[in-house]
Amino acid sequence: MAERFSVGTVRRRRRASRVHGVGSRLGGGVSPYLYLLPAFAVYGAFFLLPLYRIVEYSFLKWDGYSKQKWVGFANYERLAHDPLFWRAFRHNMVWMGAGITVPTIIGLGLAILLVRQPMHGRTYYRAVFFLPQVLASIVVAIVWQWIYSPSSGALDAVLRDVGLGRFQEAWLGSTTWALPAIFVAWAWTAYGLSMVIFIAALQSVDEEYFEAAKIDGASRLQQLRHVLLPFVRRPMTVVILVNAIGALQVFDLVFVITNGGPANATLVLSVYVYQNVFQILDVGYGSANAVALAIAIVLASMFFLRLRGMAERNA
Amino acid sequence: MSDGQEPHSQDTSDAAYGRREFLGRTGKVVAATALAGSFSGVARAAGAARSRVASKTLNVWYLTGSPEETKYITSATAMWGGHHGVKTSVTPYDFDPMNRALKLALSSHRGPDVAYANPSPDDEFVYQKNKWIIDLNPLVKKYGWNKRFAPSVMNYWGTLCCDGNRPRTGIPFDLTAVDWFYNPKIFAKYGLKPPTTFAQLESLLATLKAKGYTPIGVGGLHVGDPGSLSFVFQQVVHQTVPRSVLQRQQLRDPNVSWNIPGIVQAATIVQNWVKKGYLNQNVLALSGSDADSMFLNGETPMIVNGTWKNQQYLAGTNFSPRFFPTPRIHPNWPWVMGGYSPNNVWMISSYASSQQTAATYLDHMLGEQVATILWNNSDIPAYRFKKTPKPRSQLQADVYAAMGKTETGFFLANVGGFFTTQYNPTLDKLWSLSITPQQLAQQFQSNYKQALAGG
Repeated sequence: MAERFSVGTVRRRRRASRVHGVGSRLGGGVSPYLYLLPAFAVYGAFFLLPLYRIVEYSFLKWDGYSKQKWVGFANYERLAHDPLFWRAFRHNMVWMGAGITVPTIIGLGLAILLVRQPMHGRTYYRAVFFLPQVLASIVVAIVWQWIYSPSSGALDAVLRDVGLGRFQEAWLGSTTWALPAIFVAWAWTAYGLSMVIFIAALQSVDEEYFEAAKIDGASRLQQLRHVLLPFVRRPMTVVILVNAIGALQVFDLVFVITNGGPANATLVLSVYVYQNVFQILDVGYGSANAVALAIAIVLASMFFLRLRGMAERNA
Repeated sequence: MSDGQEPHSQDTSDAAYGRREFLGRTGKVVAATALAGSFSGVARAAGAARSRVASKTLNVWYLTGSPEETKYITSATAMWGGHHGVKTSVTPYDFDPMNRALKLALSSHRGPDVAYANPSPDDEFVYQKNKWIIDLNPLVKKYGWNKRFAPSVMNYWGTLCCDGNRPRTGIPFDLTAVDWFYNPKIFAKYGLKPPTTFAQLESLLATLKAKGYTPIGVGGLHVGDPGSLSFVFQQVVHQTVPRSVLQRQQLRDPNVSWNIPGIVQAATIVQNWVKKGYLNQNVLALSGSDADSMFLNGETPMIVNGTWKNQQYLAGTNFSPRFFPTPRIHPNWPWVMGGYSPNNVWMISSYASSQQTAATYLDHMLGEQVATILWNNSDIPAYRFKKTPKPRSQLQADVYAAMGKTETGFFLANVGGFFTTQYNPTLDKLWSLSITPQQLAQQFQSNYKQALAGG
């Protein structure tokens, strides 16, 4: 039976559509925002509010419990002249430089091997290579501490057994080698995610492209460069971004393995923030350090996102 | 009483629950009856008091050294609670978390009724300065606690103590000292004896090295790790710098310096030990646990560590470790042991709802019964026994004798602030021979100034 329309019916429908969020001029009405509200509340409470408070604290002289004193930009001035801050910052930059290359290259290499090379047990290898990614960082720290131990560590034992005893080192006790040693432990956990992202990208490449390249006489290296790499350009920017942020945020491995030692050779910004806030109880200065770290992360993210935009436009 | 909503809080009242409930109910009945005039005033007061305390919990935060210690303190607390009809809760803490948690809790007028925590200017004095803890002088007088402990221990800081005019912040409980643990089997094998002069110590180190041993096992991987190399330096400094100067450094006296000949002398001695191979190789890559292992399995005949390790060392070896204090360099100076201190101190919160109950509890913990429990667990209680109990081990006897012979000393790293966080990184450079003893002293002074400036 045909529906009878009246002005009242139309109004009721409009009202209903507004309530249910369908057909409103805003493109959804209130409902979508109501759905977002719980997530936003959590985001606000656990990210925005703490972020605001940290910025606020960075302008204070405060030990965390007694009266707060406004000091303006004094903490930032101090930070600009603090050799330990700049040392930690330099370590973070070196770490980031290595962090965006080493796990990316290893992840891509493994992804190519596991997707392009015919082999038995491919799934098994994927799981094995991804395993370090899912280990708790404390476990990783303890395991690598054992590996590097000069008294009973596996690394020195292997070097000795294969006749490379002259390369044995007190890895974590050396101001030269301690930072690279912890970086290796971090890279071990970071390449798994890179590998999975690259595998997903490579699996979407149609085999016909490679066959066409072969027919055109392209070598394996040329296939890699001209067929495969263009397909991984976009995911590579994601991998680089994730690894760069991870490199700047690194804390747990350094804290557990050396706590910044020996002689501050592995001091990174997050550990320095921890020392200032929780050990010295100089909450204001520690917060200024944390704000500087956050700015570094945001700038790095913006840079790599722009890089990604350029990659997408080129693609 | 306080909220005490802290991690791994252990309710110790299980065993005493039935009794407490009984006492609580009885108290209420007694109080009601007494109000009706059936009992005397004394009975009425006793009943009312019991019913009041039975419904509360005495929250104790305890800075613990080991799970075993937590166990017997919890048990002693529960025993007291059961006897007095008070529900008790003991929350064990590690060093850093305790300092942080207590400052945050007390500053917001919450936290425990009673705390057993770190006695340093950075902590105890802060609590006292902010009046978060009560002055214990009246209780010292009332319960006669002063007579139970050695004056040097009661007056550890020499500034806030027992003259009755200044507030007393904490009461000692057990004692620690840092010094030389040795393997008597290796000593006996070569006819060696604990040194009584510094020259003998140097000779002992040289002999052990000549016999193929690395004399001292140390670890330096983790800042502040027990058994770390900072202790070796600390013990020598106590022989090269007068105790009064070290005390002023600890109290952050701006008129005292770290760039002094005594610090340079100690750094020179220790750096020479590094050069001569008296300390194990790869110090900075080994943890305190590694150093412990080397000592316990006989690789290194000696280790410099704290007496809180007594139980672990006794249980972990097939030899019975012994102990000696660092001999004096200046024969006319008194004997002093670094780290010889009231390990931690008991404090009563200003916000405890029943300070009387807290005081009664403290009186129990500071008495001979609990001191005996400590003694039987190889600890050295601060309590002075009228008749010293039989030592549980030769090691305990050695430590007790050393404490009787020496004055208390300090944990050098505990100045606080920037000085504390940079204490080990600065020493790392000394071990790796990348700075001279003079540069170390200058760096310490620079760190000290930054700490005084609030860094």
